Amino acid sequence: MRAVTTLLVLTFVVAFTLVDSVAADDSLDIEAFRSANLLYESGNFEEAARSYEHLSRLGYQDATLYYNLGNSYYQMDDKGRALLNYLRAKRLAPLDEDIDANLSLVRAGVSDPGAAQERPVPVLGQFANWLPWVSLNAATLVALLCWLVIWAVALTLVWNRNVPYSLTLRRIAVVAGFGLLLFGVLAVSNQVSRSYWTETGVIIAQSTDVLEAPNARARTEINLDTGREVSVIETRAGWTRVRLPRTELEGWVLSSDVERVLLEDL
Amino acid sequence: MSTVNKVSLSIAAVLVLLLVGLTTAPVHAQTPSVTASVDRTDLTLTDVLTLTLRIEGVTNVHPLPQAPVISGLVLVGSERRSYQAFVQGALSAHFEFIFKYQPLRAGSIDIDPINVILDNTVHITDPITVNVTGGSGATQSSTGPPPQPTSLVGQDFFAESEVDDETPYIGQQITYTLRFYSANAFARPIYDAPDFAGFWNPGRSSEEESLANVAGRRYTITEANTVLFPTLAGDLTIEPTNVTVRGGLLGSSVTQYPTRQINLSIRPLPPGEPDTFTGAVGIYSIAAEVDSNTVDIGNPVTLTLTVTGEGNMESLPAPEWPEIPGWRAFDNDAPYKMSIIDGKVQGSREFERVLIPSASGSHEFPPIEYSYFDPSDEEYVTLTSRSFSVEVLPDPGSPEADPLATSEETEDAEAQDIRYIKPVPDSIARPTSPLTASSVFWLLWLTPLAGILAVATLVMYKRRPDSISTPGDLSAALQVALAKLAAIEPGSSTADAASMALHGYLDVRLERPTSGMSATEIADSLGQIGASAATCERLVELMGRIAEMRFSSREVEGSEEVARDVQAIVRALDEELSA
Repeated sequence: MRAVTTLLVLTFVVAFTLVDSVAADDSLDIEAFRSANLLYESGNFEEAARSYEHLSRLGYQDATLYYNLGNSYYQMDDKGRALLNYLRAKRLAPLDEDIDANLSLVRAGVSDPGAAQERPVPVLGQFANWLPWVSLNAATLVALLCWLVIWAVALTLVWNRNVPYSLTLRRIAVVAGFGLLLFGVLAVSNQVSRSYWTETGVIIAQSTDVLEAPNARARTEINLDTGREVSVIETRAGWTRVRLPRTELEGWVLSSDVERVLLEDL
Repeated sequence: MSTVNKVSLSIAAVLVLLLVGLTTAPVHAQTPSVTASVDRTDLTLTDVLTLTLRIEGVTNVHPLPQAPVISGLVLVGSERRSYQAFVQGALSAHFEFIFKYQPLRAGSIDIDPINVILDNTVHITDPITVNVTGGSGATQSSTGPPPQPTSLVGQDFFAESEVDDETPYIGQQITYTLRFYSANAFARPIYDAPDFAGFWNPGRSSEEESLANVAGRRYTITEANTVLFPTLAGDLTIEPTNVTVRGGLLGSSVTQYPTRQINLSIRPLPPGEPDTFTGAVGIYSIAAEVDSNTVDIGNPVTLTLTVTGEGNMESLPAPEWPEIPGWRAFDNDAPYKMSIIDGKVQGSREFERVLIPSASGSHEFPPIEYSYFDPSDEEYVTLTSRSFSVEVLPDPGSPEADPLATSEETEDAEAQDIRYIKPVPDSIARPTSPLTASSVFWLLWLTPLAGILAVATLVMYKRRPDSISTPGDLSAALQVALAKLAAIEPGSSTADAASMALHGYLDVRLERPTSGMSATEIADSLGQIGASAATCERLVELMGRIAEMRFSSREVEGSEEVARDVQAIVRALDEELSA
């Protein structure tokens, strides 16, 4: 019985460590990261940002990478891209104090005082922030394992009521039930959080007009400065429909002027 | 299938094909176009200008274009027309939005380009200029009405119509009344309403029946009232209305009773309108409110002006909103409620303006003025709402949020820099795609179902009866019986095993349970399907021995012999019955 329990625990540990993310095993990329940091430390923020962006385009999604990239843009006085990358870092490490500090600083420093309106995070999506090390994949996989364990125990007991260690099996099923509930909620919360970040966008152009229709001749509803956080509703033929947080005001901006925090294809 | 059914089926099929063909007919792939035109460019103060907005190349217009606000002109009516036709199997459609305006002043008046949104694309019309002169222009003329009976002098049926005011102001409510007198209590008149061209008609307000003695006869009087708002100044005509009465056997004869034609002279609104007059006619009151007197900077405040009273709520114009410096303004839709009470159109309309502050501090919203023309007193009335104070709080994240902060602290805040970059991590995370996107992941959730099926199958197999349950599978029944006999272990109950093997075979052979039958009954049944009498006798004798063994101590001694005999009997029966 002890062997079974150990096997179960090991399986869960493997689920946590392997399905979450694949660590870079390419030492060249680690070296590139180190070079980018050196460029930053030497004051060459533009080159540093370019190096961090290169790593990002390679498919890395790392809180430290985005944080350092945000710092580089901040030093280049590009508040929009700085805010965007701090938000990307915060998505991956919501409890990191450094990210929060820099994010607050950038939000306070945008030119339009009303621009410091962040999008409210859905209540269900906040559960995931409390346990940031449990990723969507880990939560869903562990929930699946718990589900399978519950059924395996149930079928075993149905097959043979006099199976040895039946009491222990029942206890395992109860624990797996709690696990299913906890990680199921975490999985849903992660999915909600993921949707939230997919729908969150940041104006990265220095200034952009929000138009009534996806047409350059349409009437301008409002002008937004860089760093304004918006809800992204849809994208169509080079135009993106956005809504201002906490208002019903919405309109169209050029897609090149706004960027989502989490791209759907990632 | 009968001929009638075949014909019905064919007709139904043709109808379905026609319907499908019609509903799936392609729409003309036209480029949407929007044009604006006026019926005249030179007019007088008493004329009515018709502005037509024509939209082609679309099958639906959303949002609907609103009547443009034109300086020097007041909106007096509007209507919408749509035209749809199938041309060469394709749907062709165009829409016309017709707006009627009355000049408020003489001189040149510019109609700015009109923006129309179609399929998220803005279409802009060309500007138009019209010239208004002070003289009296040509007015609409009407042809003389046909002679009508003017009074009720004892006829069986008589129809008459009237309006309560034949010289109303433009936009003023009048009531059109149709009365039908019937001396026949069983007659059911049908009233064809005129089209009321030149009027806005919110619907029939009431219809009543009463009894009265007129010209020495007793009549049932049906009275229908319709509320109208003139939308054109000048002479207007309400065409005669026909009331139809069916008579004769089964209503075969139809007689129509026309009313007289009504001529009206619609007066334009008098001069001297205030600057805040935008075209409202009726009797109104206003109430203004803001949804919050305190707001964070960048957050919206909604200023609502509710206009309540008697008049045409559908075309009630928006107020002239005062400019509020430091606030960005956005107009919302203006929903309205309207009903006809005691023959009067009453209701309310809410005009909303969303305002967003761009600077903190105390702000004063000036009063809103709303003017209307009261046709009963024949004068313009201007109402004024109260003013509002709105406190705009600074952004919590900005230094001005803390008014007690010293300049030194403010400087510190400005001098504050971001936190430094982080060192290179041991590994850089590269996310994998979500498991939820994999179909295998979701299939794994269903694997317990496979487990349930497997366990259920095993449990059923485990609990299956010892007899062969497949009728007709005699070869298998024989094999199972022989196998059971061969598997008898020393010391076990040979009688039970032999009985089960024997009955297992007999159940299949006789295709029914045999455990409840006596040996003689089984032998008779076997004899009926071809077993020899000798074999049947041996079977009866063997079953007797088995029964005796189950209740005696001889079981162990004769076990091998019984097993052999059962085996022999089963083989013999199988050979005889198979042959």
